[in-house]
Amino acid sequence: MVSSPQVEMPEKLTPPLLNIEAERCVLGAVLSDNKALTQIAQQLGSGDFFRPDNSFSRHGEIFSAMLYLADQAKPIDLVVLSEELQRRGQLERCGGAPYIASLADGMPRVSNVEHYARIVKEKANLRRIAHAAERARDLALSANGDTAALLSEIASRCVPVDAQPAWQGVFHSFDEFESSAPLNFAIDGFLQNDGATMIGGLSGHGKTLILRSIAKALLGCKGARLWDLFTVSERASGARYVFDPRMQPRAV
Amino acid sequence: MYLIPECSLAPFKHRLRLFGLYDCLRPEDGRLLVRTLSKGPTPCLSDSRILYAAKGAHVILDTAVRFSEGDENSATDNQRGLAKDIFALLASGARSVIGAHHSPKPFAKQNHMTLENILRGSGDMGAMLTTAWGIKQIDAEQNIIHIQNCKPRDFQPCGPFQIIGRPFIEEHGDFQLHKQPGECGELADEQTERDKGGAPTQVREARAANLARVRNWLDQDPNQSSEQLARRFKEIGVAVSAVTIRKYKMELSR
Repeated sequence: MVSSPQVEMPEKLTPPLLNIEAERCVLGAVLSDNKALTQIAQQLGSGDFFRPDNSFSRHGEIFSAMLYLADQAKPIDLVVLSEELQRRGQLERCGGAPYIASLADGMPRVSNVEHYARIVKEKANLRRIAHAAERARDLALSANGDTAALLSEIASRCVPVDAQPAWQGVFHSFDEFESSAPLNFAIDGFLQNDGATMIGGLSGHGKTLILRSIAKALLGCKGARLWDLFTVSERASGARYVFDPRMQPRAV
Repeated sequence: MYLIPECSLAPFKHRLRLFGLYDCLRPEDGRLLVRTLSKGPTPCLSDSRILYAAKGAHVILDTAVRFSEGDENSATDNQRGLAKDIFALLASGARSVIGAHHSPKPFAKQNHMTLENILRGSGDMGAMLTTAWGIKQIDAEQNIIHIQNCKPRDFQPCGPFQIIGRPFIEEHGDFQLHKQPGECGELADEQTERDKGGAPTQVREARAANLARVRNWLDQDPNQSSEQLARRFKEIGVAVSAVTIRKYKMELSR
């Protein structure tokens, strides 16, 4: 997991440098679905969260506690998370249990957690750049006229360490490989899962009938046989959630 | 999820009953989602509702080319439209995508199966598939279908086999195994003589008869020109050009 340096804030913080809602959504997503943490842990650190009073970030502290609980293989829910923050002596500073419980309120979608994390990361990087620029300004104002030495010092001290793109998030982590399912078949030796299968043939040669036969096998019970030749490995589950009026179609 | 944009509801309902799948549509089961022509033009596969419903589902595209944007004979269009949409379905959580795809017409006269001759425009599309199965009906009366794997990406497939539809679909709601792997030969061995390739039987028979006539007329008078023989064909009501007769002559002189 990335350990990002804490960001000291410039004195005047402009709105483009923070997005509190995105931070809340990240934390709320993890609370709603712990698996969301594995999607964002590679690109986001606790130091990426905004620190309103220039010394303590309650969102950063909550995220840090979440990372700790994940490392300990503990569930991340209101009770366990509050307990962990209490143990750290930070529960009240973080807003207490009511604030933590409110994080998941009004959160658009857990599936968008990576987008929220990207926003948080970008804002953190902007803050780092703004801070670096401010330090560069201070150094320039206090310089003794040696421009080359000033540039060298700015380069070494003011370049935001964590401003590079979060490239790690582009690639799979080892954990993702470890937790991914092995190669498996819906119908052994005939229909592989997580892939595309094509039935090629001339018009009128039975493609549609064969597709219906495959559908029948998939809708049958586990262990059923397709044409007495291939064994169905899994029973197709219901898609009733599609009709659940409480659920909204996913944005694409 | 069964998407069949080129079939209307009534015939599809009949076929679902035939295969005993009708009850899976009932709300208390809810495991089969169907969209036919009668519901209007099928949304493209990248439609958010389709992608949402595809999560955890096996998606059947009958036929796949109906979901590609552009010319169905264009490999480029197939690649751009269909492959992209199939990947989108899988990325959104579909368990698998199973499609039917037309073979190029010359496959009718061929007696072997490859990825290239079972899938139209397969150069690009075939590459992205996990598996491709080629089928060919070798007996229309009994609906015997020869099936052979033409692309196993991650597993060792079984050998060619055959299934038979008549009368089993009507009686039992599904195909029955006709020849099992190991017992079934390659397509060239299993096709009837008529389907083994080359010109249709009536064309070959007509050509053989014309050749015999030319041989017979030349035996009577070896100096007859191709134009004269063409006129003799015309007299008996057969249209054969002088150019074709020259070819016959060359073949007879060998």
